[in-house]
Amino acid sequence: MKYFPLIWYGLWRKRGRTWLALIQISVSFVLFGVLHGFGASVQQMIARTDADLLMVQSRSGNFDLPVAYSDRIARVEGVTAVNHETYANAKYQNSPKELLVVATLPKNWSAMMTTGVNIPPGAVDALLSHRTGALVGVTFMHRYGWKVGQRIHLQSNVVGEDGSNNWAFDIVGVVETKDPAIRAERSDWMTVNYDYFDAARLDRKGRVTQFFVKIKDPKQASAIADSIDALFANSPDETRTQSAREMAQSQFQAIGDLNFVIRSISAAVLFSLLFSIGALLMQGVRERTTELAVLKTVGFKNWAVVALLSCESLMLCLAAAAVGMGLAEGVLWVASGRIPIDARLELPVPVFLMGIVLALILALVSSLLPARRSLKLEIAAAFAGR
Amino acid sequence: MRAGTQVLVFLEMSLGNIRARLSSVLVVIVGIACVVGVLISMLSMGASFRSMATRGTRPDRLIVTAAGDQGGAITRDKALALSDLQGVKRDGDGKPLASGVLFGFAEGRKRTDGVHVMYGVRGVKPNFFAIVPELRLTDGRMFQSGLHEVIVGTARRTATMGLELGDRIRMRGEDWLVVGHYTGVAYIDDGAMADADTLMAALKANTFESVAVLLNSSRDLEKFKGAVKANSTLSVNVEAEDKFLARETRQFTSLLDFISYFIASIMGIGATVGTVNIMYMMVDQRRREMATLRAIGFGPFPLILAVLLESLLIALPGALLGATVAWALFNGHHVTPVGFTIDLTVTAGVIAVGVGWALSMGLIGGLFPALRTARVPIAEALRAV
Amino acid sequence: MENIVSCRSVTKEYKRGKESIAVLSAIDLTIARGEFAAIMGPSGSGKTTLLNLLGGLDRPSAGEVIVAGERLERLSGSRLAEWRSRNVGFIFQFYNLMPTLSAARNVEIPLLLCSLSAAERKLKVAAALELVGLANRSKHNPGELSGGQQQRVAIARALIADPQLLICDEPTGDLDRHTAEEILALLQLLNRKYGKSVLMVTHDPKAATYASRRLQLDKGQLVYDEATSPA
Repeated sequence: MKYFPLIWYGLWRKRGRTWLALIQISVSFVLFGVLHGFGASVQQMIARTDADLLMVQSRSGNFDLPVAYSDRIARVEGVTAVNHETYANAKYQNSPKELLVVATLPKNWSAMMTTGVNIPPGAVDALLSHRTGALVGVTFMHRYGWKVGQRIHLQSNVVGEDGSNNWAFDIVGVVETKDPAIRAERSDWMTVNYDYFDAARLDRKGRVTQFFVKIKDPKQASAIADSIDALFANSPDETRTQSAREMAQSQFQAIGDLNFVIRSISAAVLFSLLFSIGALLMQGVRERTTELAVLKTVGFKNWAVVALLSCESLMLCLAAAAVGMGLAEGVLWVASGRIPIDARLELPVPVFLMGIVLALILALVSSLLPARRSLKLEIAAAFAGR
Repeated sequence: MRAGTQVLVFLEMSLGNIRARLSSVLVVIVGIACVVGVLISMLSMGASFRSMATRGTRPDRLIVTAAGDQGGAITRDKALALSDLQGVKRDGDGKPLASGVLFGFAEGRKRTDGVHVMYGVRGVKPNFFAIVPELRLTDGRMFQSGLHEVIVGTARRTATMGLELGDRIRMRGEDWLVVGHYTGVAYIDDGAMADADTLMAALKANTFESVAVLLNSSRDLEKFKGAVKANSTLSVNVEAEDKFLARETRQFTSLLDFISYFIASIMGIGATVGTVNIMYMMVDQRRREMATLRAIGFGPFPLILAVLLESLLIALPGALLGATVAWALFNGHHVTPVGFTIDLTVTAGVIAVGVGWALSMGLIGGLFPALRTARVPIAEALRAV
Repeated sequence: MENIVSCRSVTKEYKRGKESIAVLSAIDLTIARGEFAAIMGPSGSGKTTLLNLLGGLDRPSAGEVIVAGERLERLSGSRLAEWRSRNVGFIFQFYNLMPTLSAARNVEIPLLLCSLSAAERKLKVAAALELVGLANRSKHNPGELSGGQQQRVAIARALIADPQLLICDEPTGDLDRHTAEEILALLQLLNRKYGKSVLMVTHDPKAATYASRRLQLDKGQLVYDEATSPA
C-alpha cells in the first residue's frame, strides 16, 4: 500500500516507546492466550470423550466390583460390548515414579478402548498367547531402556500369592498414545492379562476396579446407566454408572467454575491496556502537531489523518497480539507434557480469533480520543504553536 | 545545595507539572490498580481457603493414622493402647478422650448442578463430642447407638441436596436417617457423622482408619510421641490436627498461590513496561527544565532520586485503588472457583503484599527513565526539540 | 485568469475571552499570475495570517478571498484540502520535513493523494529533486542534510504536484547569508522560468529584492503596495 511508509514512519517515530508498547501488548496477550486456551482446551477435551462409553464403578466405598457382573451388564438393552479393567501401581527398581498396571481382557480392550492408542499389529495376539505378557507404553520403554522380549521385575502395592510384592512380566509389545504432543509423557501405563493377574494375587480375587460399557445410542446413556445401577441396587456391591463424558465433566467441574476468574482477569488486563495505549497515542498526537499540520496543508483530509493514526494503532496492536498468542501456544504446548492430565493444551482457533478481534477493538477504541484531537487540529494554529 | 534540598526542588518541579500530565498519571494508576486488584483477589482466595480449612483445628488435638502408605488400619486393640498413653486428657469419669474413627461413603447430588458427589460419613465413638467440644448441634438431635441414624454437617447440607431432617441416605444398600445437623469445625462440617460401632457393623469392618486424641495440652505432644515410639507394636503416624489439615490442603493452596503469583507476575510485567513508557514520556517533557537545573549545578543523584520518588508516589494510589476495588467486589462474598465455596476475606496481610507489589512496579518503572535523564548530556537536553 | 489572488475587504479577528483582536483589517489586494510578491512588515503585523488565508489554511472573519479562481471562504474543509493539494505548494521557515523519512519519501508525500502508480511517482520525485539540485541526496534523511539542503527538499515537496502558487513563510529565516541567496535564486528561477506565482513573507529587505513586487503590512493593514505606489 502506498501509504505504508508514512504509517511505518508514524509508528517508529519514537522507537523506544513503540518497542515498550509492543512488549506490553504481547505480554498481556500471552496471559490472555494461556488463560483462555487452557479453558478452551479443557472444554474440547471433554467434548472429545466418547459419548457412547459408560463407566461402572463401585458406589459403596469398596472400590471394586465382582467380575461376575460382566454378563448381567452385557444383557442390558442397548449395550453392545463390556470390558473391565483393574489397576495396580508398580515401581521399577529404585525409581520413585510409578507405573500404572492395567489388568484387562486384551481382546475386548483392543476392540473398545483403543481409539487414542497406537497398537502394533499382532501385539494383542502376542499378549493373549503369553500369559505373563505385558504391552508397555513408550514412556517407560524409553525411561528404563527396556526392550521387547525383556522380562521385567516390578514392585507393586498388590500382594502376590507368594506373599511378596514382586511381580514379573514379559514385554511382548510397545504401545503409545496417538497424540504426538503428549505421546512422550503420557504413554505411561502397561496392559497385562487379567486372568494371570487375578490368579497370581492374594486378595480381592474375582474383583475388578471398573467396567467399561459401549452402548449403541449415546442419547440413551442416562437411561442405560440407570438400568445398570438398578440391576445391582440393594446389593452389597452397588454400582454407579456414568458416561465417560459426565466423568470428564465432573473431573473438570472445578475448572469450569474457573471461567469467571479467567474472564475477569482478561477484562482487567485489556482494560489497563486500553488506557496505556490510549495515553501513548494521545502523546504522539500532541508531539506531532506540526507534522500533522503539514499533512493537512499538503492536502490530506481530516479523515485521512484519522485513518493514518488508526492504521498505526492497528498495526501495533495486531502484530503484538499475534506474537503474544503465538508465545501463549508455546507455553501451553510445554505445559501439556508437564501437567498430569490426558489432554493436549493448545490455543484453539476460536480463541485466537477472539484475541484478534479484541486487539482490533483495543486499537480502535484507544485511538478514538487521539483521533478526535487530530480532527480539532487547526493548521494555522498548529504552525503558530498555539 | 545539599542533596536533600535538591531532591525537593526537582520534586516540586514535577509535582507542579502533574496537573498538566494528569492523564498520564491516571494511566499508570489504572494499570497498577488492575494488577494489584487481581493479585489481591487471587491471594485472598488462597488465604481464605487456608484459614477456612483449618478453622476449628487445634494443636492439642491429634490425628493418629496407621503407618504405611496404602492406608492401613488401626485395630481396636491398638486404638485402646493409644488412648492409654501419657498426655491424653481424661474426662470427668477418668476415661481417656480418644476415639477411633472410620469412614463410610454416601452419595448425593450437588445443589448447583445436580452432579453426583461422594462424601464421607465419620463413624465416631460417643466421646468424640468431648474430644471436639467445638462441635454443636444446630438442629435436630444426636444419633442413637445401634440405629441407622446420622447427623449431617451444615457445610455438606448446604452444598448437597437431600440432607434435611427426615431424609435418608444410602450406604451399602441400607438407608440411614438424617436426624440432626451440626457445625463447628470446618473439615468435619463437610460430611456426616454416625455411631462408630453401628457403622462398623453395617460396613462389615472391624478396624479404624484413624484415632482422634485430645491431649492435656499441646506441650504433651512430645511426651505422647515418645510413648508411641516406645511401644513397638504401635506403628502409627501422630500429627497435630492443625498441621494435619495444613498438610492436606497444602497441595491445593500452594497451587492456588503459585497461580496467583504467576498471573500477577505476567500482568505485572505488562503494567511495569507500561509504567516505564509513561514515565519516559513524562520525564521527556520536562527535560529542558531539568537540564537547566543541572546546568546551574544540581547533581545527577538527587535527580534520579526525585524521579524514583515521583513514580512511587504515583504507584501508591494505584495500589490503594486496586485494593479498594478488590475489597469492595469480593470481601465477604462467596466464591466458588474450584467446586467448593470459599468465604472471601481480604485480609490486611494480603493488602500489604499487594501494596508491596505495586511499589516494586513503580520503582522498576521509574528506574530506567530516572537513569536515562541523568545520563543525557546537558547541552543536548537544552536544545530545542 | 489574470489574477492568481484577489482579496476584497478581508478581515481576520481573534477572540481572547471577551476581547476581539483584529489581526487583519479590510485588506484589498490583487496579485497577478506569474508575480513574485514579497510581503513584509514588523512582527505582529499580520503577514503570516495573510499568508495562511491565501493558502487556504485559515478562514477570514469577513471578506472574500479568491485564489486560483476559487472563493476559498466558501469551500468546506474537505474541499479546501483538495484545492490545496492541487493548487498550492508550501515552504516553511523550519522546513517541517518528517525526520526519519528519506528526502525522496518526504517529497513523495503530496503525490500519495493522487492515483499514480509507484513508478510514476518515482519519476516525478526524481525530476523534482533534480530541479532543486539534490538528485544525489535522495536517500538521505533530513538529519543528514544541511539547512539549505533541507529547504530544497521542502521546495521539491512543494513543487511535486505542480501547483500554480508557491507560498513561502520566511523561507530563509533559518539560513545563513550565502545559503539564503541560493534559495532565493531558486525561487526566482521557479518564478521566471517555470511561471510559478510566488508569495513570500519575509522581514529581510535583502530577500525582498528578489521579488518583483513588494507589499508592506503594519498592524493588520496594507500600508504600502509597490504596484499601486508611484514608481
